Amino acid sequence: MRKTIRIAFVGQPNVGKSTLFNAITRGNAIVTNWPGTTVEKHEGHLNYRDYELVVIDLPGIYGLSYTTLEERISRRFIVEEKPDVVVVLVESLNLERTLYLAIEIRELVGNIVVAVTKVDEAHSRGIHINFDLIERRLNTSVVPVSALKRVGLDRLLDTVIRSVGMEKPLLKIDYGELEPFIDSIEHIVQGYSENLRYPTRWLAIKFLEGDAEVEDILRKALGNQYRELEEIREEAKRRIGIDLAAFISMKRFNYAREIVKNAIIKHRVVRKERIIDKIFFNPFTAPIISFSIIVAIFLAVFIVNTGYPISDILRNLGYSELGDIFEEYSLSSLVEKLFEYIGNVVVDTLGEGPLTSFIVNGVLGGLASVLIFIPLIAIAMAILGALEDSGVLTRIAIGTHLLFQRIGLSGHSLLPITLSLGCNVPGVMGSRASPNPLERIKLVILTPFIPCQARLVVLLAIATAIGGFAGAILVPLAYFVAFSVFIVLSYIASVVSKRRGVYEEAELLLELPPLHRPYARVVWWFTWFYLKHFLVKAGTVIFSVSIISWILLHISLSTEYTEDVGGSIAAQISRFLAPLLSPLGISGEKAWITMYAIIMGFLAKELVVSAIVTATNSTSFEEAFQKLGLSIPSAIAFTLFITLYIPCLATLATIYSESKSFKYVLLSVIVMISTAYLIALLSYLVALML
Amino acid sequence: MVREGSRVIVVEVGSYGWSRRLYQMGIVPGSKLEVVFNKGVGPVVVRVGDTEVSIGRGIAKKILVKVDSS
Repeated sequence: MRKTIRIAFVGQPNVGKSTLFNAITRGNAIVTNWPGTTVEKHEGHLNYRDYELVVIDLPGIYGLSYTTLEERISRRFIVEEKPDVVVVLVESLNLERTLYLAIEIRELVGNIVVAVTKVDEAHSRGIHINFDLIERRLNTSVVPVSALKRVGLDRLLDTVIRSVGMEKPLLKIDYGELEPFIDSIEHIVQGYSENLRYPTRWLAIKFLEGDAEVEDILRKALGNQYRELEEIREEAKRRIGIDLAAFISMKRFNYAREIVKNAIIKHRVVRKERIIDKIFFNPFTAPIISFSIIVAIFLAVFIVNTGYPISDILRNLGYSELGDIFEEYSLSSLVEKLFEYIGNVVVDTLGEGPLTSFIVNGVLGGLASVLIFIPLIAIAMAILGALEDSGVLTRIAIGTHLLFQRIGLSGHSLLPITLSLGCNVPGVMGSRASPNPLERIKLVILTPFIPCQARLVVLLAIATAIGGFAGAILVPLAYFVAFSVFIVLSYIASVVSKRRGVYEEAELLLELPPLHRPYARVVWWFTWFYLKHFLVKAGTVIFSVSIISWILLHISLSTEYTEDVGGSIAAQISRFLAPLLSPLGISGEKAWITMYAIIMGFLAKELVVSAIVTATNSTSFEEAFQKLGLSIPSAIAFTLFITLYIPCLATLATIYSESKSFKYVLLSVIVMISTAYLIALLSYLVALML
Repeated sequence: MVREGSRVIVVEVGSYGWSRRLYQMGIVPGSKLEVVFNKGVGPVVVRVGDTEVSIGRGIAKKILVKVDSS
């Protein structure tokens, strides 16, 4: 039996924690959530020498205060779950600030190993670090590592194994004038120490900082004597004169600064001319360059995936054959062809029948609708990953901040909106980027309005089927309307919250990482993370929904297999709801098919296309759409309704997991359906007049 | 508001929602900052030690500084 060692990784954002974590666990991590939260917990297992190592990656934090959820999770984990060793990551390029967290943790636990990251880069920049001195000042082992070059990884693990069970006394920083106050609080708290899991000196310091969670702990433990602590704190405030939390942070920084001053020899490296930053921080060029980058990325992804808009532009210029080639060899049409081929093989070998239909339309169809998204998400994520790793994404967020502020959002919302253009699921997840709870919930509710690529597929199919002028403007019109709705609703939300007095200006506070060329390995991790997430979550939803919808489509009310979709359960439900569409000019014999497509679109947006094809018994979408007999105004209204009407099932599930509230899920559905219906009605009336 | 390129010392951060994050990022009373970008509108970029931090104008306005004459 191998002995298990539990190791917690802690570090500030940007110190290279996930890179080191991935390098050590080789990407084999289980991702779950921290209990009762949506913060992800990454846990990796590996066998090393005679041990089984369990590495728990704690969220990136700047310190151990109670203000953010991530900080509370981390310190609770360290104290209550008692990992065998805590590895604190400190960045060699930014020693002073990153040591701050190591100092805070060293005040709380006796068994840590400090990993100094990015030493290869530090070396090439002429920074030399005296690791022994840091070791002495923190009274703990220090190991220099470089995750990308795989330097020092074994040494780090060996040091960790060696230090299991080697508890050392906690670090004591001299807090100067505050010391007598810390002493008297400790003196009182010591009488209750058996009920407290945290070290008494640490509790005393955190109490003086005004830490709400520690206050709670002490209030419960001390009962009536808690009053005495408050009096001591009041006295300390009078003596010190400034915010105690600021004073304490200052002392910790002084300690870090002392270490850095003596431990680092730096050859002054000439700073590079910062042309890129000049562009990103100029209030005029910043939004232009930022939006150009985003638009360029998505045009590129769209072209690779569907051929649009190059195919349309070529056709309009008169090169229709060239345009068709672009569309034919786009990724989505290639995947489609592949599945068509497999389907034909199955039909040839098994012959027609319920089983063949189930395999071809249910199982294969479901598989295809999942697979079709893989290249698309992979490309979009790889580009985003490169932007993120190189530090450009942070600059884009800063560059667009001013514009976002006008609609009550901040630069933090750039990432979720951009992700949403690909797929709303990561978009809603990405709303975590905002530290402002109000902005976060706004993004969770509103980003599903941003048309995802699945909707682009539907839009393109309808546009091609309609043709002519209306067909040419349909896609740009839908995007324009969707973005306008997003902007207007976001603005209205901030006006409403201002009225109700809960508004807080969406602000920005971001560390600016230095620009560098993206590392392929880091980009791959970023891509793989989102892809895996998509495959597991959305994949299972889309796949199982395709199978359920096959059943609804091929089983009649008398529970018999039927070839005629018109007699299926799904058709019955759609017939019942179809009259809702008559204000949009959609009525008559075929109206239920449109309704049916809308219902299927709720399951997954791209199903709209296949739903219309199968329900009309057609071979192509163009033929199918003609059979619906929609007038141009009705077709436009239908298209806009499809673009806006509801988050798909997978997105709804994500909205729930992000907000942990059915109320918000319901709100999102109501807001989207009513907006979509209103816009569709309006566009129908306008189009009638033209 | 402080001009680009100037060096300042933090006097007070102000205790509202963002102050603890600012403390942890090294912006505490007494720390030395260099204003890297300040275009009159939009976020300000300051250098603290070896890192640069971009601070929304609303937050930056509440940080009280004095000129670093050393």
